[in-house]
Amino acid sequence: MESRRWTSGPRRRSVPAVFLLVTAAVVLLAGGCGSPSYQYVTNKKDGAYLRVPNSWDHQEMPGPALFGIDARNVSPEMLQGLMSREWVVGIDAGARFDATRLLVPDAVQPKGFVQVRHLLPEEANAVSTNDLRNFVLSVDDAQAAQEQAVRQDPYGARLSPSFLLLTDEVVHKKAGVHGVHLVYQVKTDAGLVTIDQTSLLDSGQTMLYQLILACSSLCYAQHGAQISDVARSFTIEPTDQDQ
Amino acid sequence: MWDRSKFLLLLGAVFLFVVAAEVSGDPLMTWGDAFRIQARKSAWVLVLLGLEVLRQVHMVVGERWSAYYVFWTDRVFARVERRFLRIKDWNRFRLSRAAKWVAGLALALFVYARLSHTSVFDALVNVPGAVWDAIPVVLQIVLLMVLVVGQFVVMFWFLSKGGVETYFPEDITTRFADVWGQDHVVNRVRENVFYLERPEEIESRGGHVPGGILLWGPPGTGKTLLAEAVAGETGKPFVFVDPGAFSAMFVGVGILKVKSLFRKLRKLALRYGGVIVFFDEADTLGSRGQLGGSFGGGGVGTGARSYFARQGPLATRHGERPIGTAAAFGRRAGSGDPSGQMCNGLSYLSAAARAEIGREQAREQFVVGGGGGGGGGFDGTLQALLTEMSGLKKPRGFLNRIVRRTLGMRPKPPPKYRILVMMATNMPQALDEALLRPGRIDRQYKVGYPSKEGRVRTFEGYLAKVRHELTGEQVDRLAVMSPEATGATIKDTVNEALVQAVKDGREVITWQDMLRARVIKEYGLADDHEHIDRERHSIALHEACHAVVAYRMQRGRVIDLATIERRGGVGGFVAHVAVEDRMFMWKSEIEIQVMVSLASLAGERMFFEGDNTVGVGGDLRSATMLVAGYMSSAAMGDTLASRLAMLEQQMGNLSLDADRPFGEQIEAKLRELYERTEVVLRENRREILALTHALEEHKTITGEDVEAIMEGTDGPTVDGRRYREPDFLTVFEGYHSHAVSAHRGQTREARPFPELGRAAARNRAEPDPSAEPGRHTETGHRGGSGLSTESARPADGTVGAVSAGTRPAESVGKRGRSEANA
Repeated sequence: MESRRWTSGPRRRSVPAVFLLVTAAVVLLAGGCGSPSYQYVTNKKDGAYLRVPNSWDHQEMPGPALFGIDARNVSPEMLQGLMSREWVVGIDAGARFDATRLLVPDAVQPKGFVQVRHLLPEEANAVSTNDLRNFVLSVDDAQAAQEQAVRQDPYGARLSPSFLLLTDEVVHKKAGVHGVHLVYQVKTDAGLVTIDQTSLLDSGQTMLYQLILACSSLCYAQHGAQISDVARSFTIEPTDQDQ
Repeated sequence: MWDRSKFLLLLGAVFLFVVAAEVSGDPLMTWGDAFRIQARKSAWVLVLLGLEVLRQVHMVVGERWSAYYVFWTDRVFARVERRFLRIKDWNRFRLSRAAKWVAGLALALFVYARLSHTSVFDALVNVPGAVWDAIPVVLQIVLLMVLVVGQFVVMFWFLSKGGVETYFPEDITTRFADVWGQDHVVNRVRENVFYLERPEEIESRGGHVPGGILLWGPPGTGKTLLAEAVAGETGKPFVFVDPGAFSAMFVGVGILKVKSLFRKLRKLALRYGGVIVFFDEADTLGSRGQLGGSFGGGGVGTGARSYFARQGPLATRHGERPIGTAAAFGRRAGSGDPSGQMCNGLSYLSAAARAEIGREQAREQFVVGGGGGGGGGFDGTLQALLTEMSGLKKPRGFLNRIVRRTLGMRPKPPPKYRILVMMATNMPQALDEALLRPGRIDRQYKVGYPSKEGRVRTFEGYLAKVRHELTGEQVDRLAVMSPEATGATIKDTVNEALVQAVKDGREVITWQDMLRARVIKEYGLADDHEHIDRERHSIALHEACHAVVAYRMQRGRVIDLATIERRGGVGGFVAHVAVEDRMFMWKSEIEIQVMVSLASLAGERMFFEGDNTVGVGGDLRSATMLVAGYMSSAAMGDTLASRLAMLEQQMGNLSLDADRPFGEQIEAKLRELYERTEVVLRENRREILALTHALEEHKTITGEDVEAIMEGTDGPTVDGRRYREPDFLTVFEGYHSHAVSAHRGQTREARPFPELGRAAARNRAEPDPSAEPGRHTETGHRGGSGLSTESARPADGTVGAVSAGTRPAESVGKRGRSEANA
């Protein structure tokens, strides 16, 4: 009586269902074997999101805000405050992530960093959209110097420019986030360097979001598409936590 | 199906959750990438999922392929399983419980970690902080709940208090020696208390202390006194529960009260090694709400009734009689049945005969009324009581129950509570059967009417408090005369006697006061009502016939009282008391009972020239019922078969003797007994007339007076010697024949009642030969004196006019009072 109950009706119905489940589980397991297409750099607290190719590497950098500060004068609370004010993640497409060589002019693979910074009140008051252009180097000055050089030596300066602005666009994103996106080429002792710079401020101008990627111009010629892709993925969704 | 897939579903759900957590809030993240990222980060979920899939496949294959199944079970897992089985059951249970807890907590932690986007270890470290942060919110919620729930708790706490009193040994001075006349019950109760106080006496031998006693019996027999004596004698606390304690305004409060009572009892039992709890009037809580309604006292708990019916003769006498007589009288009085106009109820019948009649009537009545039960107030109080008395005994105390269990330790077994439950009731049939089962109420003791020694002692006890001149013999006689006297009624009777004495301006109680008090207490006060002369004569004659036949024929019962005074709806009656406590009646005794019943009819016809009143209807009813009942059940007639049994088994209307219908047999038997009665009456014509005269003159005479008249001796109220004087018969026969002609309507001339004093005074000088005691003692009961065969003579000149019918005749009712028996 007992056995019949278990071997008849309900079992016939249950077996396909179990197989379905098992199959689903197997598919799930198999699907898990592939690699993701991107790596995701996220700062949900401040609302900054970035997507880099899967082969690239990234690491959060501790304590960039402490440059130039005497650690002996800093209390633990102050240290905590300073740390939370700035978030920097280094990005390196090279084989090995090297935090000390993130902004070298002769990098053969794209390198750079993404940064979120809570501006101090005086900084916030002083900053303007125009200032955003000159955070890495003074783009306007370099542009003026290049124009000056062209006037002096029209051919030489044009053939090997010390500064070449490739892209200069004003960016407006949602929720009032605005800024500039610049791509420029700079001549250094180690050779030509191409820098992709995205600098953004939130609507209240209290947060600075910055993505800097750089590599040698040859490298840029090879990986330009990837770099542009990463720069395009840079998404800001302000979290309103400071207001 | 669910058993097969539950772990798969659980693991799948966990994985889906972590993927969703990855996607949520990240505008760049795609489901595919989130899935792949989590497949690496939470790979263990997928591993478990894979193992579970494997296990299910293994199961499915094992179910279909026996060789495969046997291989795995016997070769591979057998050793592991043996090892596992070697662990004790309890430890295995603890291990599995611990494993489940760990797994559950780990899963919760994992989910928490994914939610907070930290690693599992960080999450683990963060947990105390998070809990600490959550405390204010939790406290707020808890406070809110405490406020909402707390007011109910407080309200019900207050409601559930009260109705329960705890006494300690020194509080009560009553002892077992104060309970008089209940020796066997006292001994049994003492035995229970002994075991409660020295449980080792029985427990060391493998027994247990009896946990419950029911004291049942008529009201006033000392059940509560007995309980009080238990409280006084024992060294344990005594908890007295009010009868009304459990009837509460709100449903559920009764349950709370029962629970709080038993919590208290357990506490006391542990502290003092035992406790006694006494429920007075236990019928208030012992029934399942059936009886309180339309039935009044007449209803019978179906279950308990069958229980007490099994108890045999006890039940017949206690359980049935109140139903029978009370219900029967109530019914007849209500329906205005003309046969209800009887002279004297059933008071001249013995208890058993009345019970038989009552049972007949109760049987009829239950068919009519039986459907009306049910629908009573059910609120679970009784059920709570039942559970508390013998339910699951849970381990005791918070530390024991919660903490030890949480720590995976076996809770200590509950201690042995020694609680002796005593209940008292006068309606045992109202108690629930479940309450009376062994294990709850192990022992039922009937606290009946006190024994004769007890009654003597009680009378002496109460008489000692007042001034009296009763001799020991008289007290003994009082005890014999009051077989159903209880402590309460004896106290009341003595007090009434004192009232009578004080009313007469005396300080000392006399024998007469006692007798008067007894009549008042037993039969009530007479109405201030005068029968018209003609009716007075016929009623007196009617009662005299009963009394004479009873006096001449009955054994073991003596006449207590004869009266023609109206009491309530009763025109007059002859009451008896039994002088011996017997269980069974004989056929000949039943016949005598029937003859006593028929005496009224035979007498009326004899003295009124074949006429009779409707007052004999009740007597005929009793006689017919007795004959029919015992003929159909106790071979009183010519047949042996029990017709009652056949009717009960619904075997149809079988005729036992085809030639003679049953009714005809009853009639023949009644006729035979009627003729025997006539013979007795004819032989005692003088005694009947003498008793009639005494009743008409004194209205009420005691049994001793009846005896004095019958034997021609001097009684307490009446001097029986006067009725032996030769002219009495002449004078009174004249009065009687005048009454008969007035009854026929031949004369309207009223004639005064003959004063015997004058007749006696006239003959005082002459010696009275009939007053010799020796002559009358040898007449015996049955023989009679045979003096009364003279015919009626014309009246002499001593009688005057009798006022005829100044008041309309009132119907003579009957009385429903139970007569004394033992």
